[in-house]
Amino acid sequence: MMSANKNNLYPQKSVKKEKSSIKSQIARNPLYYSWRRFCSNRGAVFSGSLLLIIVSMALFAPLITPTSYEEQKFLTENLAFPSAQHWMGVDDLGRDFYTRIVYGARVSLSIGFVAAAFSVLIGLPLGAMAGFFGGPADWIIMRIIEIFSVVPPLLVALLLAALAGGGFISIVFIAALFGWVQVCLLVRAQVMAFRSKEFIRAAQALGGTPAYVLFRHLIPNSISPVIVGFVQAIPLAMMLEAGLSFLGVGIAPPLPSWGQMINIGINFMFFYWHLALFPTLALALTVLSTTLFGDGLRDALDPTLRG
Amino acid sequence: MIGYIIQRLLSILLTFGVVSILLFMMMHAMPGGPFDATEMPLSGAAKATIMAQYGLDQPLYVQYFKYMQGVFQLDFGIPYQSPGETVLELLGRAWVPSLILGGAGVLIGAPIGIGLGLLAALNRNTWVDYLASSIATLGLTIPVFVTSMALILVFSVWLNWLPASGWGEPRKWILPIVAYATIPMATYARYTRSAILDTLNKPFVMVLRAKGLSERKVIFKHVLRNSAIPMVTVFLPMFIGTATGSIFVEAMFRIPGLGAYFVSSIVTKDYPLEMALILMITVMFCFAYFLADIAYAILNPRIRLKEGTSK
Amino acid sequence: MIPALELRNLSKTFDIDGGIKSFFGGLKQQKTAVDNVNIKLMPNSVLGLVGESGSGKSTCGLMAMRLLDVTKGNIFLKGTEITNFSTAELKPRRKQMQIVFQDNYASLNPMMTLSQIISEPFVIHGLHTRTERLELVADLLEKVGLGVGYTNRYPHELSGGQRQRVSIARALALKPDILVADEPTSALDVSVKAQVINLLHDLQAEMGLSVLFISHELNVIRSLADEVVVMYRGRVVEQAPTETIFQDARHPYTKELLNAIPSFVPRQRIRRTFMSPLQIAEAIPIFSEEDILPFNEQISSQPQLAKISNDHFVEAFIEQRRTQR
Repeated sequence: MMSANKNNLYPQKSVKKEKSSIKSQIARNPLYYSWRRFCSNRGAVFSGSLLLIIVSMALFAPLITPTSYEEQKFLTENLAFPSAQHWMGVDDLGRDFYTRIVYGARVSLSIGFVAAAFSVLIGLPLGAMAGFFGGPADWIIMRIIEIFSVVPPLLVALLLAALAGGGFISIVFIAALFGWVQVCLLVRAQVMAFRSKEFIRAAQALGGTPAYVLFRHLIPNSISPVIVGFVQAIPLAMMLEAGLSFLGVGIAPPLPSWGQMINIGINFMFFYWHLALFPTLALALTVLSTTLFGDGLRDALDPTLRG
Repeated sequence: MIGYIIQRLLSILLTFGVVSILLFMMMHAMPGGPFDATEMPLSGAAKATIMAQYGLDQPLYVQYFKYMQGVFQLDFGIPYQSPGETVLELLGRAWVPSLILGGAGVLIGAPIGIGLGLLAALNRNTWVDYLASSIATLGLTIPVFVTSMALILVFSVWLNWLPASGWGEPRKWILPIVAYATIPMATYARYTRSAILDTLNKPFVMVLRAKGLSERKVIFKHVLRNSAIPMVTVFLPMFIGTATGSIFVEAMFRIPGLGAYFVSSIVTKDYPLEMALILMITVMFCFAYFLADIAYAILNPRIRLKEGTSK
Repeated sequence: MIPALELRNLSKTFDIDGGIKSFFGGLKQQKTAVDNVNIKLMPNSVLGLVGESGSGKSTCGLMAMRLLDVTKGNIFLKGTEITNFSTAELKPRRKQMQIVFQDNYASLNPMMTLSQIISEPFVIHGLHTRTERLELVADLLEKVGLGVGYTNRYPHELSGGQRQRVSIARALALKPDILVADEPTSALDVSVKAQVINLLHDLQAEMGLSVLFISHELNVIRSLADEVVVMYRGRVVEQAPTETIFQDARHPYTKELLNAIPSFVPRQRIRRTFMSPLQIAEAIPIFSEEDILPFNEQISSQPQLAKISNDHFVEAFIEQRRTQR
């Protein structure tokens, strides 16, 4: 049955070939536009640069500090105020405070990054599964998230930290334990939003299995939430660590942690306030810059993720 | 609607049950009870008697059920660190400072925060916005003990205007409350700003303006009401959250509130006190989330009228 | 001749429940989207499936593609029943039928280049080498009227009409016999509509496709379809060759649809009112059994499809032959 010439309203024109102006156009991946958006956000760029400086300082710590963080070399100058020799003074055990602060950056940043990485490691697959399969899988995962939400994270973290006796690795795990929820929720929302989009249906219509669809389409399109979740988890982990160290159940001395140093600093703050000031400043600056950088990243990658 | 409420209720109860079991198990996994050899060396017989007295010698699940039984009758046992009173009485004492701190903090912080958010939203992208948003961001990102430290440094150490610790006279309350208020202030500022901005961008606001309604009426009668939903639903959990945020402030300013007791109970491994505190706060959070969900469902007509979605 | 695609007694009901509420025995309401639909798509022809939003036409298309599960009824692909095939069994058969969607932007993965999008069918089925794929992609792009220069573009750089062409190119990559077009032109401007329709027309003639063209625009259907099936609230209410529909529609709903087509001649404009479902139900034609051709197995008191000529079916009340005393 040949289709007859239906030309009531649409005269039979041959299909016009579109002119391809290849020469002047370069293909632009959507992520390129995100980069542009990010660069136009001055606050984010500034925070990012600051963060870079802090990270570099942490990385090259041995190169920029006069001593190691535990050597009690300057006992004779105990509690000295900042001077040309000791940029941030000397602490109560005769250690160069500047060195302690810089090494404290190492501790905070490494905990932040590693905990955030674990958060993504746990949150991404759970979120993808919850969003993609829906139904019972989603229900269970949402219940788990609810369990983690109603329990005051700080209190339980305290409990767990006391149980584990503090220490680097346990703090990392505790921080990851409370950080994955955010990543999971972000990924889940993204996957659910995309799940009913037609290109997923098209992939299924072409013969793609659920696994193929998940890995080839849904997860690559969830890069933005994953990056955002990762970068936002860092300051949260850092604050948790600082808080726990401040309360005495986090990083144990002699390993320096800003939270721990603030705690010590309280005892001396009326006279030797530099012991309290510098860790406070350091913590505030670092958390601030990571948070602003994270926000800037989020706005650049996908403004709809806000709130 | 009723179905939704029941659904949420059951779900929250389930969550609470699971949490209580997990907590209980965690608590008892902590190495070394309060009567550990290092702290208070006791002979075998004496230790056994005390264990029996506190019911610590029975299998775990029995202990759990007995405990939960007590909980429902509001009997949390006797704290190890001050056996002269029950946990309930101790908490009754400790409750007050935390409540004052938290309550005052929220009551002061929230209106300021809302005001800031409103200002920021209405003067979007001007210096007012940037200033207000920066204040809000600062309040949220800088950990509360850092702000407390900063406040102490400035007002106590350098300017010597206000005392830095203790809880006796109202004068001592000022700094901690201010330190504490930064959290609700910042949170509310952020929420308010984004909620109002979202509403302002909706077409119906344009319609109202086109009708000739004065800007004042547009904002106060329509925009605020529409933005209220997220704010209301976030209020209750945040109020409950005062209980945990106060830990740092209490530690900083040496205030004998719930947070301080919690920290000490961890250090001394005082099971009854710890469990009671965590459970109480969990219950409050559960309750708060439950209420917030219900409130949201009531306020948001879209959820109220639509009982379910088709696949 | 075996129909390329046949939908037999197809029905689809959706459960409306609140997820976990049904677990606890909550209310389960149902919505019938498609009710006992019979469609035969013959090889090398275009069947227009017409109806307003909510009539169930898209649902039919999705079920035909086995993208939605069937509640009741059967689907036959070139004679083979695929109603209950598993994903694995369906996979080889997917090469024979493809679909183009209405939302052209959401139809394409925003993070993939056009080349990747169009060669995805090859990737999924493991066909051809890399160089062959690139050649085939170039051919397909030419075929739908986009030049080779578009290979490395991203969907967001194209216009709606161009994206729709890409969807068509992707659908045709595996040289299917059947193409389901779910309102492909509804989101396009009028001039672009014309281009895409001409494209589909040419491709259909060239490749001998059997096209199930779903749309709510009657004038589009008129220019493309050989046969028209009209759906209303999940049921087929009229079915006939295109010109018969336009000249001799019998069902009140079809007449309403025809009246609703905007007129180009001002003088011929009529004041349009749309009938309510109740009015439509009352205006359904009544035939006595003698007037119609034998078709139905069983005459019921409900309206059912009556065969009034060789290729014209209308939903009507059929009065039973009065038994002789």
